[in-house]
Amino acid sequence: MSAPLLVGERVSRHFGGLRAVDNVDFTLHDGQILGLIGPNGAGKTTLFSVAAGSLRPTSGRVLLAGTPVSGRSAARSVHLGICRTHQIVRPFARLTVLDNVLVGLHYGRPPGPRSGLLRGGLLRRDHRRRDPRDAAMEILDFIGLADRATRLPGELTLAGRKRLEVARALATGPRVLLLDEVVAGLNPVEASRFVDLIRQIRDRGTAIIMIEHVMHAVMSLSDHIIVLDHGRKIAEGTPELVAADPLVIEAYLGRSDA
Amino acid sequence: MKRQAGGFVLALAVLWVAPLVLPIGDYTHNIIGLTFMFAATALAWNWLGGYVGQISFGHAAMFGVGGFVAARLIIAFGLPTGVAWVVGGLTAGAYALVWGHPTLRLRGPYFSIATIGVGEASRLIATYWSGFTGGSSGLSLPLSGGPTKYQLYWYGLYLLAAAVVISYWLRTSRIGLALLAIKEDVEAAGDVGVSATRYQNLVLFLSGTMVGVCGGFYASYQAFIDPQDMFSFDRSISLILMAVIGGIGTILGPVLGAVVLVIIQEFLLASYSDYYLGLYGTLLVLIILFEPLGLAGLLARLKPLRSTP
Amino acid sequence: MREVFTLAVSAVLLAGFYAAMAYGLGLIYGVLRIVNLAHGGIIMAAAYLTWQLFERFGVDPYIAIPVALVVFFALGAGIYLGLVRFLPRGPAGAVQSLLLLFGVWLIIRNVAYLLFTGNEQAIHTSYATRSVTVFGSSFSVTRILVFAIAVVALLLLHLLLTRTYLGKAIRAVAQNPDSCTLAGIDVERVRIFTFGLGTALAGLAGVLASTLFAFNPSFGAAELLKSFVIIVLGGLGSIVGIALGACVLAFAEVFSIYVVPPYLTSAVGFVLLVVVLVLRPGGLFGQRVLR
Repeated sequence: MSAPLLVGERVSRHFGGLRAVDNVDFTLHDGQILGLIGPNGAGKTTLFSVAAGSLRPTSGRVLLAGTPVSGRSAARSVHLGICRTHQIVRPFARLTVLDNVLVGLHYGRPPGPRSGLLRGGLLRRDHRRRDPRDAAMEILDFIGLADRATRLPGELTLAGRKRLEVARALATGPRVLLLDEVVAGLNPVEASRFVDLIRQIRDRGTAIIMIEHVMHAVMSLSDHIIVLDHGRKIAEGTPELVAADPLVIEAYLGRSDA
Repeated sequence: MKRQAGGFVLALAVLWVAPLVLPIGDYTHNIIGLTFMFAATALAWNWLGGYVGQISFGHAAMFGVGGFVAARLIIAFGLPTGVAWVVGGLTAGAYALVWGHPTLRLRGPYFSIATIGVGEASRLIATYWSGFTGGSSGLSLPLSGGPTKYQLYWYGLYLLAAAVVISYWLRTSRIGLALLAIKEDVEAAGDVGVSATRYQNLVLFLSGTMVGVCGGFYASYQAFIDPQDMFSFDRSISLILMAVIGGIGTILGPVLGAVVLVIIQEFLLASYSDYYLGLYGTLLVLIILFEPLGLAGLLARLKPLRSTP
Repeated sequence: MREVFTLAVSAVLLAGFYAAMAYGLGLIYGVLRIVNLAHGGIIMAAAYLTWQLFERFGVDPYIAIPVALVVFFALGAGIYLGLVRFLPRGPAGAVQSLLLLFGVWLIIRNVAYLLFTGNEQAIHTSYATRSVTVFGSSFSVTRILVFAIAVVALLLLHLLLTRTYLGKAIRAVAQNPDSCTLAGIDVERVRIFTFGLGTALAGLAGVLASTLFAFNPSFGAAELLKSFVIIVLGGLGSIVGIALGACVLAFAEVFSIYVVPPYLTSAVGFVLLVVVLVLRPGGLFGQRVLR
């Protein structure tokens, strides 16, 4: 196997007395999908926020290809190549679908030497040879929203808004994509389309960590699964291994719908 | 976009030539020059208030800093007026960053109230720092050497032109997209790589600099400034009123707002000076309730009515 | 040492007034997520009402309190029903509510100016100059009365919020309006009542202020700012939080005379505000949620 792409080293995040994430190690390799499961309140989303840079870890750190990403700003993590989506989607409501994606396209990459004012406007014509709108349309095409490019997010279905959330994240050109419950809440047909989409994103070279409650989705997609309960890692391994683990069944599968 | 730009250049040319060919009285001529300056300040306030959604109640601080620095430079070193304005403006921009960098991470009412504090603190310091500002007796500028009131008309026009150009640039460039994203949802913007700190600081610096340059213009125009007037809360309020009455977030709006405000101030309030606060308050309430985009919003509503046969 | 004692007691007395002054602003923000920018205007208007009752009818300022509470409760409920109710909820509404209530403040100022001119006014009661001597330091009777009334008012308010159905409904709406609708609470009525109550409290603060300070139609801007500083310092968590926030501000102001020239005293609150907002966004003493 290749050198690990994203590594969490003894990551902890406490809120007052609550240990939302407690000493969790994880490793993500290139081209992999890592599933993150556990009951509600297990600390999955908190772990995402730490990995995405928007929450400072209480202790431990997260490294992307050897560079620390945790404890800086979210924008900085995105520039380093790690981007997240939200469980409750947050599109820019008064920007068109296309503009939503353009924000990610323009600002998702690290500001280069021609940054700031020059990049922002004065040199924008010759900055890149390709029209960014073409690139944005390509992403929308891939994600299946090309025909909705000029609509506002509020006019999309829930599945559409979830696709937009992923499209906007993809536009930032991430090496690692963190997907927070993108399949949850969709009907079975939409869900299975989304599973295909996630697989295609992985095949195009983006490593993925996904939080998911829909068991068949996470089991069929993940190369590796980590189970959290009360902030701690209680099991990990291949989907088959995890599904058979008695601790997991007790903590999670036994208590919830699956 | 092209048509708007064309209209803008045409309007600029007409205004540039108008005093040379039309029989405009001195009084009106000077008032129009002052209106240009007010419109520029309202546009500058709008970059922060309209584009980023951060309502500042403290912009008089930058107006005052720009005005006093420019006045001091003119008095002490006899600097050319334009240079003094620009240095004053940049000082004001830097001052805006000093308080803005820590407070801009606050949003909504928290930022707004902090700016009330900034304005009040600046006013107090300026009033009591009489060594620099002249305290309650203020500062008088030399009567000769600078541009005359008549010439200031064109200076005002250039200020307004610069403010309009920057407004268009902020609206239509990539930065405009970042500002919209920040205004919509600052956290989501961060999650796709928009650094809110960087762009909010940039906008506040531009806004503070422009308002500061206008403060310099005002110092030259009045030839006398005092801190109670330059830094007053009412001055901060007047920027908000112009932008909101005209149309927050638009480009035409703040300009219209400045015209309305000057008309109210010069022509109506000459005879009804006791009513001006209530009049502004009522306008503010009516606009927020019935047309949040102000006069510009009203015009936009009228357009389709006109074009339908 | 004597001086420190005098200053400390003055600070505590001032803090009582500050806490009563800030609570109305905090209550409205907690329930409606709106900063009532007209808060300072209400304080000023109540000061004028008290002055009028005193000058024309010889009503003692402290007897005027019930009148002020009723009048400003009605005014607050009216402002909500006539104006605030129509604003959109969410971030767009937050900006609009700031501007709208700011407009209301300007109107109140103008009305006060038309009725009473811009001259400074003050209320001179027969006991205004009396003072009490404690351990060799003297304190004015007025300040002590204001403190006592403020403390009693806050205690009554605490009982109202924790012991009555209405109070519990207010706290529930502050935490989660959506589930309140589900639970059968009339959220809109709670909002009307809260805006009225918060305005009535500003009215109380105005009555108290009229016995402490001279005032004119622009009175109230500093009071608005200070109220906000206290909410930010103390959080909206509880009466205790507000009281602590008021103490921090009062002590900082009173003892700042050792550090800065007196004219900068009113800037002290602002410096505190920025420091706290930047370092502890949740407030010094806990959460911003009304519990």
